[in-house]
Amino acid sequence: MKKKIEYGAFCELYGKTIRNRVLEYLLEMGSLDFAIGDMAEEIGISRPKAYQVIKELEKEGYAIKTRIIAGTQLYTLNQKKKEVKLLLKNFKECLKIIVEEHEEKPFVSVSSGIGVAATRHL
Amino acid sequence: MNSALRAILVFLLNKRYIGGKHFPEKKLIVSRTKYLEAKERKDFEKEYKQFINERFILRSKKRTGKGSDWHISLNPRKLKDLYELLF
Repeated sequence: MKKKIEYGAFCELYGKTIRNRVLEYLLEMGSLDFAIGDMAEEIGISRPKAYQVIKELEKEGYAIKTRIIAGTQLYTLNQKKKEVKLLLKNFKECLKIIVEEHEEKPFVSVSSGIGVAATRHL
Repeated sequence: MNSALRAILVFLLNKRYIGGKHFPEKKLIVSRTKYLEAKERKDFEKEYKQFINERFILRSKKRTGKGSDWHISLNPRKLKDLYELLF
């Protein structure tokens, strides 16, 4: 059975490509480091593709190696790069949109003259 | 804020796991705390419990194929406060 892919606000805005899905994962993790295999499983891509994309991002300076634990190389987002700072800013704005979507609408009481049915449309 | 807790909150917010839409708690915590050191893990657990007590994270038991599991989601009434804490 195929695993359902969940896209976040970043991918919805910038496109649902594999590279964007990996970038979104990197942005979600922030300063936390991760293994490529775990990332591939979580975002629903194959391991060889995940390794290929991370190698590309490492070459471009978006991802950096951190430490090795039990023979596993961990990677993290390179927060010192100018372009990454821009991406983080954009990601922050994407999350702000989600917060604003769920903002509670003001409740207007019946006694003020506006009916309950009308308040639902505010 | 602990980096693992921040990663969990950002994941839930980004994927819109708010209110009725929930995600398995154990799966998310294990994935984010896998490579943490012992001290960091203790700090994470302390902060995580605090966030649940302050109702930023909603925790409920859901029936699954294996019986029942704990699932978590974000509290829609505290989203604004959470966003200010994160950024």
